[in-house]
Amino acid sequence: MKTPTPHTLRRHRLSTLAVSASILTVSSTCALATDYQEAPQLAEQVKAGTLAPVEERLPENPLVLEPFDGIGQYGGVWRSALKGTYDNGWIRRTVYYQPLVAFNFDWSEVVPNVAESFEVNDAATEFTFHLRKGHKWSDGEPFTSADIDFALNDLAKNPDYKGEKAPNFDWSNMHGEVIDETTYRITLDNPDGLLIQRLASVDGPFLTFAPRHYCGQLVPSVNPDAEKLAAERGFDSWSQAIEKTCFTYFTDEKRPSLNAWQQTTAYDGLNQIIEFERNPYFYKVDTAGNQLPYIDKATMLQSENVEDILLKVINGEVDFSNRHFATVTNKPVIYDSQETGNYRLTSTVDARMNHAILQLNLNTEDAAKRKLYNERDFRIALSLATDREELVDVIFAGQGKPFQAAPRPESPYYHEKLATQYTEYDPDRADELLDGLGLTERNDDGIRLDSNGEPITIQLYTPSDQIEFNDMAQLIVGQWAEVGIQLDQRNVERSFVYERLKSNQHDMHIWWGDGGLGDALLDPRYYFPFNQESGFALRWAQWFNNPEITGAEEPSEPARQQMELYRQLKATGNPEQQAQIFKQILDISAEQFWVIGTILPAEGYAVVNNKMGNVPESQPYAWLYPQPAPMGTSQLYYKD
Amino acid sequence: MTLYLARRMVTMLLTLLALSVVVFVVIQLPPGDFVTSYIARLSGSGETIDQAVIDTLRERYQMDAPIMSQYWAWLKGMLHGEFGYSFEMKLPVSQIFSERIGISLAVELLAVVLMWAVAIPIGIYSAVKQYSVGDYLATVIGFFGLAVPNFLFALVLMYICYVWFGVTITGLFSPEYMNAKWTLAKFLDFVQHVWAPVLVIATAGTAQLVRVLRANLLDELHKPYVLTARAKGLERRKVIMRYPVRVAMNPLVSTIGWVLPTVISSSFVTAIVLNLPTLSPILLRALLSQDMYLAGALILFMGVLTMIGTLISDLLLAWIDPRIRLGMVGAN
Repeated sequence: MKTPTPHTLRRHRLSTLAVSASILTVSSTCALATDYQEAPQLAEQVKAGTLAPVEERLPENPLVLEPFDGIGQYGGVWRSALKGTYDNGWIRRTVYYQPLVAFNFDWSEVVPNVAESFEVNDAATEFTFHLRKGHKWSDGEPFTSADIDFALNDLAKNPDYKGEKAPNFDWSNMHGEVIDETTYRITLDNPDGLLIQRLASVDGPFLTFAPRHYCGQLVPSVNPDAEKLAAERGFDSWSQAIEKTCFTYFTDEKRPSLNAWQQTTAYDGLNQIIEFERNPYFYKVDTAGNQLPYIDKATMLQSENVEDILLKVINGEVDFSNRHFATVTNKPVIYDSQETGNYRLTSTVDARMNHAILQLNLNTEDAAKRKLYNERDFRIALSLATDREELVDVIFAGQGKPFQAAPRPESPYYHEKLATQYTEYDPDRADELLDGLGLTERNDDGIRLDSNGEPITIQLYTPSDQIEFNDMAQLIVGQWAEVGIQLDQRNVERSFVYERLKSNQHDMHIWWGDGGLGDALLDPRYYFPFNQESGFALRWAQWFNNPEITGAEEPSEPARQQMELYRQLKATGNPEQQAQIFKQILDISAEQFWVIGTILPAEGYAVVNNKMGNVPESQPYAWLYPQPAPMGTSQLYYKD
Repeated sequence: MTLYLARRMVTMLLTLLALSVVVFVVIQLPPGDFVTSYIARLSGSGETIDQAVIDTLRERYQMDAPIMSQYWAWLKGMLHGEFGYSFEMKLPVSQIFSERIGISLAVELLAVVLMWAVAIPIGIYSAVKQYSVGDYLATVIGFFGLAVPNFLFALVLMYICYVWFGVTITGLFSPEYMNAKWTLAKFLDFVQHVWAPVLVIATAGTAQLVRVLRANLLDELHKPYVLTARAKGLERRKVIMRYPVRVAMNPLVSTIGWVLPTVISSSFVTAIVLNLPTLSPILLRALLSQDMYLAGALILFMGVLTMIGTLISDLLLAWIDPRIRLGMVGAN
C-alpha cells in the first residue's frame, strides 16, 4: 500500500462525507474510524506476517487527534539535544508524556488521554477512570487497570519501596481499586480538588509508565525472587532497581511504554545519542484514521555544554526544541541564522511570572533582622527603591515589564493590585518610608543603622550557574545603596545556596517566579508559605505541611488564613469555586506584600525546522504543563 | 634492577594511599554533598522533591556517617576491586570506566604521537638552522600555540569551520554511527572527526616540545665532541642524530611519563567544548555534583597513571642514558 498523500486523503474524506449512506466506496482510504492506515514500514511488516494488522494493534476506541494544520505524512526524524547526564526533563516533556488524563493545549482544562473518559464526584473524593478496551503496551501485551493498580499500590504506596516517587501526592490519602479490566477508581479520605490537575501534570505519568508484566519482576509483592533478580542485575536493592528502570530515569530501554516512540537506546550518560523509534501499538489516530505518530524516529544528541547545542541549532541540526539554549542572550544569534539554518522561531508564553523574586526571610533566627524584615513598610521601601526599567534595559534587551509576584496577565487568576503595586521607581518615597521606620541614623558610607546601631546589611547568595540573578543583583546593590540599604551579594555554587536555604540561615533568597499560569493553583509558593521553595517563610511552610515537624513555627494570622483558604480550595472540585477562593488568597497576598518581584518575562521562543508541520505558533511554557507535550507531539510531521 | 623496581613499587603504594586521603577529603570539602546538589539541580529545572525522599536518599548514601568511616568503607571496597557506584549516573564506576577508556586513550595517544612526530623534526631543524626563516616561523607559531588556551582555540576552530565550511565539528562521530558497532565506515567517520580535537590538544604540547628540544640541542651543538666527530669525517646528519639529539632528548624523555595522566586531564576543557565522549566530561560532571565515588576513582586513576608514567620514563631514561643506568640505586 503506498503512502497516502495529504491531498488524496482530504479528497476522499470529503467524498465520503458526501456519499454518506453509500457502501460502494471501494477506496482504500476511508475517513471515519472503521478503517485505519499505518506507516509504510509497519504495513510491510504486517504483510510479511511479523506484525499484527493495525486494527488489532489499536484499541477499540483510539483517541482521535485533530491536527493543527492538517493531515500529515509519514516519515522523518525529529532531532533535538540533551545536556549532560541528567536531562530527563526534556525526554519527559517530549516523548514520555502519556498520563491517564492530560492538560489540553491552552492549559485551560483537563481532558482524557490514555483514559477514554473519567468522572469526578462533586465532593472531590472519588475519581473514576475508564480505559480503552484492547489498549496494548509497546511490546504487544495488554494494558489494563491492573497496571495502574500496580503502579499505585505495589510501588508508590508500598511501604517497603524506598526509592523516588512522584512528588506532591498525598499517598496515605489515596486508595486505588480495580473495578474491572478497564475501570479504575481512586478514592480519597480527604477531598482534593486539585488531584485531577496533578494527575494531568508532568508528574502524572507515573500511573502509566510502569507495566506490571515488566516491572513486576522487580517487586517482591509480585515476584518473590525480586531481591535476587535485582542483585543479579547489579543493584543494591529492588527499590533501587525499580527507581532506575521503572521511574523517570530512562536508563532501561527495554521497558515497554504507551508512548508514540519507544526508546531504543539507554540514557545512561555514556551513550551519546538517544534514539526513540515508532511504537506500532500507539493508541492515537488522526481524523482520517492514520495511526500516529507520523514521524518515524526521534533522536536526542547528548552534549556537554550549551554552546555546542547552540552551534547545532544555528546550523539547522535541531528540528523542534527550546531546551537550554532559548535564552534572551542567545536570541540575536539564533534570529540571525534563520535563513542559513532553515528554521523559524515560534513563541512560548512563559508560565514563570517573574525573572527574579526577592524573598526576605521573615522567619530568620536573628531577632533584630526578623523585626525589621517583618515590617511591611520596609519591604515596600525596598520595592520602590528598585529601578526595574534599568534592569529590563540592561539585562533583558528591553524585553519585559515591571511586575510583582502575581499570576501573569494571560492567566484567569490575574490580580491587578498584587501584580502592579509598588512597581514604580520612587526612591524619595522609599527614603520617607525608611525614615518613618525610625532608621534615620546613617554611617559614613550612607548606610542606615538599625536599632542596635549596626549598618543594615542584607546578605544575598546568588547561584552561580544562573547568570541573570548575578547580573540583576549587582544592579540592585547600587540602587538600594542610594536609599541607604546595603545588599551584600555574592555569587556562590548552587548547592551552597540551597544548603543555607534549607537550614534557614539566609537573609534573602532569589529565584524566578514559578506559578504564573495554570500552575498557580498547584504551586502557589510565592502567594503564601506553601513548600520548601517559599524562601520567605520556610518555618511557616513547614507548619503548613506538618505542624508536628521540628522547626515548624505557627504562622502569622494572615498567613494562617491563607492556608485555611487553600485547604478549602482543595476540598472542592469545582473550578469556579477554586478560582474564587484563590482570589481571596491573592487579596491577602496583596495586602501583606510577602515578597518583592521584579520583571515579567516577555514571550520566549522555540526553534522549528521550516519543513515541520503541525507546530503551534504559540504555546504555554512551564515544567508542570509540560511544554511541548500537551500539543500531542505525535502529530508533528515533515512536509517535503 | 629488581631491587630498584621493588623500592619504586613500595613508594608508589605509599603515595597512592596518601593521595587517596587527600582526594577523598578535598571532594568532601565543598559545603553540601551529593544530595544537596541533586536537590539544587532539580530546582533548576523547575522540579520539586518531597522531604521524605530527601531523607531516604541521605540514609541510603550514608551522607551523615562520619567522614572517616565513609573513607574506610571506600578504601575497603577498592581493595576488593569494587570501585563503587556513581550516584548521578546510577551505574557502577567500573562500567563507566570501561566504556570510555578506549576512546580516551585513542584520542590522547593520537594527539601524543602527532605531537612528537611533528615536534622533534621541527625542534632539530630549529636548532640546527638557528635564526633562519624556518626557525623564526616555527618560533612564532610555537609561541602562538603556547599562548592561546586550548578551549579558545577549539571555539575558534568550531566557528571557522561553521562559517567557512558549514560543518559542525563537535563530537567524535556522526549521529548515525554513534550507537553502531565498529566497522570500517565508522572508523572512517571517526578519522573525519578526530582531527579537530587532536589538532587542538597537540598544538600547545608541540610548541613546548619544540622549544625545549631546541634549547637543549643548541647547548649540545656547540660542544667540542660534535666538532671532533665532524672533523673525523662523520656525515653531518649522522653526527647530529647520534650524539647531540640523544643527549637533548633526556629532558623530553623524563617527562614522557606524564603523557599518561593527560589521558584524562589535558584535554579536559577541550573535551567539554568539543563534546568528546571521553572521561573528561564525566570527571567534570562528577566533581560538580560531588559524586564522591566516581570523582574519587577517576582522580586516583590519574594518580596511578602519573606514577606508572614516571616509572616508565625513569626506566626509559636508564635505557637510553648509560650515565643514569650506572648511577642508579641498586645498579651493580
